[in-house]
Amino acid sequence: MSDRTDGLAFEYFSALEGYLRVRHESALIRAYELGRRAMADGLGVLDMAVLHRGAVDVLVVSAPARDQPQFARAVADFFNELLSPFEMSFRGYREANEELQRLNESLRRQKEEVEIVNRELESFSYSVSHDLRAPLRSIDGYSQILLEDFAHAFGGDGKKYLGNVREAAQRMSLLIDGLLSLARVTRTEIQRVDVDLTALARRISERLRAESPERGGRFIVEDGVRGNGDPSLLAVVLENLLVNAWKFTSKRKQAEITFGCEERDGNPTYFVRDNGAGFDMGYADKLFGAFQRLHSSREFDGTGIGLATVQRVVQRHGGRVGADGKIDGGATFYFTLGGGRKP
Amino acid sequence: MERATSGAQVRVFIRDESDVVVARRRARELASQQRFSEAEAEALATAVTEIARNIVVHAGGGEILFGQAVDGPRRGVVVIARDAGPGIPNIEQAMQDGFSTKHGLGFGLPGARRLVDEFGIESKTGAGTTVTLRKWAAAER
Repeated sequence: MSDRTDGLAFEYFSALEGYLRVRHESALIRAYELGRRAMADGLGVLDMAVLHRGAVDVLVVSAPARDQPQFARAVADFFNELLSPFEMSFRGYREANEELQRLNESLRRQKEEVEIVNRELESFSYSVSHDLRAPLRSIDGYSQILLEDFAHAFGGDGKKYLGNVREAAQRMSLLIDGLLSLARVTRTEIQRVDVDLTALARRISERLRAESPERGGRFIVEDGVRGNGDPSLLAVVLENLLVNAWKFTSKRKQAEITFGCEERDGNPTYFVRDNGAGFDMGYADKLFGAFQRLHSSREFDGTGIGLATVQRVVQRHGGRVGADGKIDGGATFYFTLGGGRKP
Repeated sequence: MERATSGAQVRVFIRDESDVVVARRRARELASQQRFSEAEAEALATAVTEIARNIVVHAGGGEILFGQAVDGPRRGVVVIARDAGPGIPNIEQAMQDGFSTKHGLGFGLPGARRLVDEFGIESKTGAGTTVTLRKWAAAER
């Protein structure tokens, strides 16, 4: 036995010894207090049984044979007292457990309802997006035919307007693509594995460089950045953030885009930093809303769905997204992957 | 200190730990008169211990009245604990487990509540607290 239980054993023994001499309530309350203290110390019912048997083993020797029934009765009463705090606490735990089960059940039901509503919304948005594409293709396609085969029928203004129609149709098609990918992100089951984010970022940045060989600028990708998450969804995140950074640095002679990981508030926090157009921190909370754009599409093209998708993916991983920036002073987007291990 | 009040009522003044002992003895006596089982008597004594302790620790003093409870054929014990202490500002919170960080889960007032059949509490800040317990003997076995 440890020192702690040794002390308890001695106190219990002397209290029981006293009770056997004079059956007084004050000895019983000592047993009760001992039980209470033992519980607070994290001891269990079986520890109490050991304590009790140790005391009885010694005391039974000096009990006269004719007193045995009274002896048995008294030690049982005394033991009852020792166990009463456990009974009281046990009832507490039982009740708390029932309450937890009730809460759990109601949470489960709510979650189910939310899931059903979400599924309906997703399938609605998916089919709407899908069904909207066909007429758009017609609008764009027939406009193209008009422009190419019936150009003579239109004046300069007419051709310009038709061009505008095509541009609008194409923009809408991009929006629909964005919506579809947002819906996909929401539906996909997350498979968490260890992902080499450095390799992923390098692949994306090399592709971006290759697509615009005329642009100056460089990507700095930290070595050895890893994250725990869904590989294809993390690819969507990095793709969106790096494409964004590349886009918003397009007016810089020397674009510089950094991807890495640092510790913020004790969590590994991934970031994509650029020296591009930046944004007004006053609108920071609008950045991640679907269809929210801080720049006109004339200035920088885009649909306003990319960052909403990033946020959705990160939230589905239990992480957080954020952004720091300054107009014309670059921007940093960062995210965590809740529950992921340190990279 | 104690004295019999009207009929079967007994009053125990509670000031310190030794009065808790007296209160428990009264609870047991009454339980045995009402033919409580051993476990029921122990549960009642335990509940009384907790509310008596509460008076000693939080109010510095008070009294507990013990009486016979009658409800048709049912027989039981009623315990009324009164103090003129500071009162409990938020009863709902006080009745929640873990509110009092000094003890483990299920002690104190919520612990006492679970050991009896009926539990009532009234409290006014600055005017003290009254806790009423009722516990019935199980039907003849």
